This record gives sequence, structure tokens and C-alpha cells, in this order.
Amino acid sequence: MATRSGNGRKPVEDEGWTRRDFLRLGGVAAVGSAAGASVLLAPSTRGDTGTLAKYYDSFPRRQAMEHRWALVVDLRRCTGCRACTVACKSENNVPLGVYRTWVRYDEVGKYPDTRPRYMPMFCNHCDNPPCVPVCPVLATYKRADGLVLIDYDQCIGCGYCIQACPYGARHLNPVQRTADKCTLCVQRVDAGQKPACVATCIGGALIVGDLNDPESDVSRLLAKQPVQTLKPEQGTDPMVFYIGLDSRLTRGVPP
Amino acid sequence: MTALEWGLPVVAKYLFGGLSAGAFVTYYLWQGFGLKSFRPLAKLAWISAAVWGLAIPIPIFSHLGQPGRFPELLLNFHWTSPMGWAGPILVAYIVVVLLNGRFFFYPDVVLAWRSATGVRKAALRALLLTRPPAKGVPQTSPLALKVTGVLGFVLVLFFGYTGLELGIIPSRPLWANPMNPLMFLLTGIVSGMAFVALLWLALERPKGTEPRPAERDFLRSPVLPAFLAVFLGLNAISYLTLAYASPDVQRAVVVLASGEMATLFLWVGLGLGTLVPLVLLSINALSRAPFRSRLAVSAVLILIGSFAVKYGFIAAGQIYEAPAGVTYEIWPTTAEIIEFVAVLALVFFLFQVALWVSPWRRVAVMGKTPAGKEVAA
Repeated sequence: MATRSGNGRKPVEDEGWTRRDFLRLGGVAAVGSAAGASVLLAPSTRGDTGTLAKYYDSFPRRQAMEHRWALVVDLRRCTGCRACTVACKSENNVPLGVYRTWVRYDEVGKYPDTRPRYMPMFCNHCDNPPCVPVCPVLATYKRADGLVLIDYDQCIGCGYCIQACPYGARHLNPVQRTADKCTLCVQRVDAGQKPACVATCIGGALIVGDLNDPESDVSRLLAKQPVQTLKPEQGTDPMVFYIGLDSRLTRGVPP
Repeated sequence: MTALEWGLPVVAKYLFGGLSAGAFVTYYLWQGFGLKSFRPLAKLAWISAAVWGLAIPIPIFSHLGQPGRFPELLLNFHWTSPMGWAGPILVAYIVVVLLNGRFFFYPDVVLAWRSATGVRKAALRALLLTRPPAKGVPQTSPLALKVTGVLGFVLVLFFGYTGLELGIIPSRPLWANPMNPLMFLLTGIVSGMAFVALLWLALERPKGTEPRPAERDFLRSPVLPAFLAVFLGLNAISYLTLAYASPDVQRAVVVLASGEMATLFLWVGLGLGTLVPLVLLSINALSRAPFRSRLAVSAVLILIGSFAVKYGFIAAGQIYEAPAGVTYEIWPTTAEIIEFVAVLALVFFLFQVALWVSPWRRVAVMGKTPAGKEVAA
């Protein structure tokens, strides 16, 4: 019996699917998926954007800011002592098992001609931070002086920013259950002091300063020394600059 | 060993969302597109969409570090974050689906309310929202049914945001794939459809060997195998393309193709969970005598495969580039598994309640039929 039912449609005559219907639908599906995929894949969104790190001279908004904090890591002076890690832990009460600042150790070259490489790692306080736009609740933000910070009272601990950071600089704080990372010791910087890691570095390998001040140590170093940033292919424009960084460690390597 | 930042709760979030969206599509194939072969499943499909939809926030809560701040997703909406879209989309979807069900089930619920007693009568009265007619043939509003149905279907398409959540992260080359929204939508649709089919087979408990005509139509329907074929095709195109991309991307793809997640993603997810059901369901579609057992086995495999694909994809995206000195534990922790099983138990309970309250077995025959006629499905 043909009945009018819940969807208010006219009765549909009984008729099963034939092989022809099946093949026709399959063909349409295959062509559709191929066309859709080719359209979607045509403008590739990944790979090298051709954007190398922008350095001090090309920094776009430096004139508009009162301060623009940056960190220079002179790897020629780093001994791998990890005093920066300890000082950071102490200053910021970082819980066990997680780090805001750590020293990466790599061996480069081929055995037996290998050489150790130490690389202090921080939040890069990127000019184009990928963690900021992905935060669903606006808890991560970039301050006017370029520092990328987290509003701990607003963060929901979803971990999206942790996934988005290409440097592995963020973690979920196991005590406060929010995202956490290096703030460049914002509480000290705002009080006119150096970050704890900089203040404690025994080799003087860490230099912090204002890019907008041409007389700052950072500005002078950047003017004189060739510097590199990590993962320039990501287009994040980091504000942590390395002097003497082994070129084998700049691209696409784990943090 | 470090647990994955995004582990089982995130996979469960995507899984539940997909099941709900897929179930709604299954329902809408009959209610909206009038696909006759899906008519026997429509009511169970709507119930599945509603229950899984209500369950989506549970794994989200368990995943968040600060679940109490969940309202921030709505109060501090950030349009550039696909995860930020989750709040408005999910709330709108759940409201629209429930409203749509109110109009879809209205005649059945009114009739059931008239004959029900006790708690069930009160529950049915609450579901009706408005005062039901005391006698006569209850009529639903076709316009409201159509509008809420279209809105629900559009919102299902917006579930592609789940794929965008991963797709917009350039630092994870495996995830940074523009095809993700479509792939997530497809896995959701096939898993939801498979779940409804399994529920229908389990609850109807068909007797005898010969399927009834309506049942045979669904068993021979090419819709599910067509979706599976499209999903397989997109996977093939996607990963072949990625395999020829930059070295970073190639290393990420290797994790899925031959690395730690290959067994789960490639063999269980795509092989056992997609290709085998595609073959079985295609045999049913082309056969004059389709088997329920083929559909049942396919549905189970699709559900397993859907989970495997999602877990493999999400885990592989994180493990291929672990920070120095960190080794990720790729499998869920015991706590995560216990939590997941507990959530599934809660969903099972919700299904029991939904099936007990709702008149899903009743068919109110409307139109030119005698007033109030009610027959069993």
C-alpha cells in the first residue's frame, strides 16, 4: 500500500537498485572524488613558502612598538650546563616533568667524526605566532611588545596551541591544567630585570634586549653577526635568534 | 614514555561526532531526500543522531584541562580557530536535531502519550513541548519538519570543522591536508550509517531467511558502499600526493604507510574496515538475494575501521616529530581506556532510555486513513 508518511512525501513506487544504477552511482562517485581531490590539492598549502627568516632590518612593525623584545642565543658560548633550565624552573615554579626552557643535545656528523651540539630552546615569541589564531577562547595572545603570553584564567587546556607550535615550546601544565610556556620571564622584564635564564647563564650565551633600541646588546649583535632562526620554512618569524647554529639543525628537525 | 597530548578522548570526540552526523544523514536520506530504501531505518537513525549528539560533549569535557571553563568556547568565540567553531556548531546541531525529532515523531509521540502511563507518560509529554490534542489525528507541521531537517543537514556538513581542526596546523605535515574536512565527514557518515544498520539488525531481530521487500531494498542499497568507495579513493589520492611532497611530509606519511601506525591505520582502518566492507556490501548490492549477515559483518568492520583510521591519523600526526628525548606512548593509557569504556556505558544507558521512551516501533498512519489508527511496525 502506498502511504503518506512522516516526511510528507508522495508515495514512492517499489523498485530495487539495478546493477546499472549501482555502476552509474559508482562512476559518478569516482569521478566526483577525483575532481574534488584535484581541485583541493591543486593549490598546495604546505612546503617551503620561500620565506626565509626576517631579521631585524626587515621587521615590519618595529617602529610602531615602544619595545620589541628579542633573545639572541650565542651558541659559541653555550656550554650545555643547563643552568638556564634550572633557573627557569625556580623562577616560574615549573612543575616536575615539564620545562619552559630546556637544552637540546644533538650529535652532528658521522661516527667517529661526531661533534656535540647544545641548543637552548625557548618559546620563540614569533612575530607570526601559529599558536595565537588557533586558540578557541582567545587565551593566547601577543602583547604590544611582541611577547606571546597565555591568560591562565581563560585557558581551557584544550592543547590546540601545543599542537600548533612547531617548536614544541608549549606543554600542558600538570598542576594548573592549562597550556604553559616560556614568557621570557615577563614579570621580570616588566620590572626592568633580565629573564632568569639570561641572568644565570654562566657563559653569557643568552642576550635579551629591545630590537627597537639600536643601542641594545641585541640590536648590536644582530647588526654585526649572522644569525639564524629555527624552522624558517614555517613562516613564523621567530624572535629568538641563534648565532653559530649548525645549519643541519635549522630545518624540519624535532624540537 | 609520554602519553600523547591528543589521545583517546580526542579520538572519541571525533568518533561520536561522526556517528551522530552519519546517523542524521541516514535519517535524512529518507526524511529529506526520500530514499525509500532507508525508510525502515529512519526512526532508529534519528534516535542514534540525537543520542550520539548529546554524547559528543562528554569526551570533550574529559579531554579539556579545565572542563569547567567550557562556556568560554561560546563567550569568547574566536573565529580563526576551528575548535572555536565547535561550541556554536554543536549547540546549534543538538538543538536543531532535537527540534526536528519533535516534528518527525509528533504523531507517534502523541499516540504513545495517550496510551502511556506513569513516568513514560510524563517523559513523552515533555518531549511534545506543546499541549497535545486530546483526540483526533495528530498532525505535524511539514514546513517545520522540512526547515529543521534542512538546517540539521547543513549543520552536519559543517561538521567538517573537525577535519579543519587538524588541517590548519602547518607544523604537523600529516594533518595539514586540505582534504581533511571531506575525509572526516566521510568517515563520520559511513560510521554513523553502519551503526544505525547494526542497531536496526539487532533490534528488529528478523526471523526467517527471506528478507522482507523493504528490508531487501536497504540490504541492496549502494549508498553505503558508494561512500566507502569515495573514502578509499580520496585516501589513495591524498596519501599518494603526500608521498611526493616535501621530505617533512614524506616522513610523516611513512609513519602511516609502513611505520608504527601502519597496522592500525592501513591494515585495520583502510583494509579491514573499509575495503572488506566495500566488497561485502557491493556483493549485497549486486545480488538478488542479499544477506543480513554481510551487512552485520560489514557494519562491525566499518565501526572498527573508523576508530582505527581516526586513532592512527591523530596519533601518527603527533609521534613522527616528538621533541628530543621524548618517546610517545602511542597506545591509550589505562585511565583513558577505562574512561572511554565508562563513556560508552553511559551512551548505552542513554540509548536504553531513548528506546524505552520513544515510540520508535510505532507507525502512525496519517493522511486519509481512519483517525488515530496505529499499527506496529
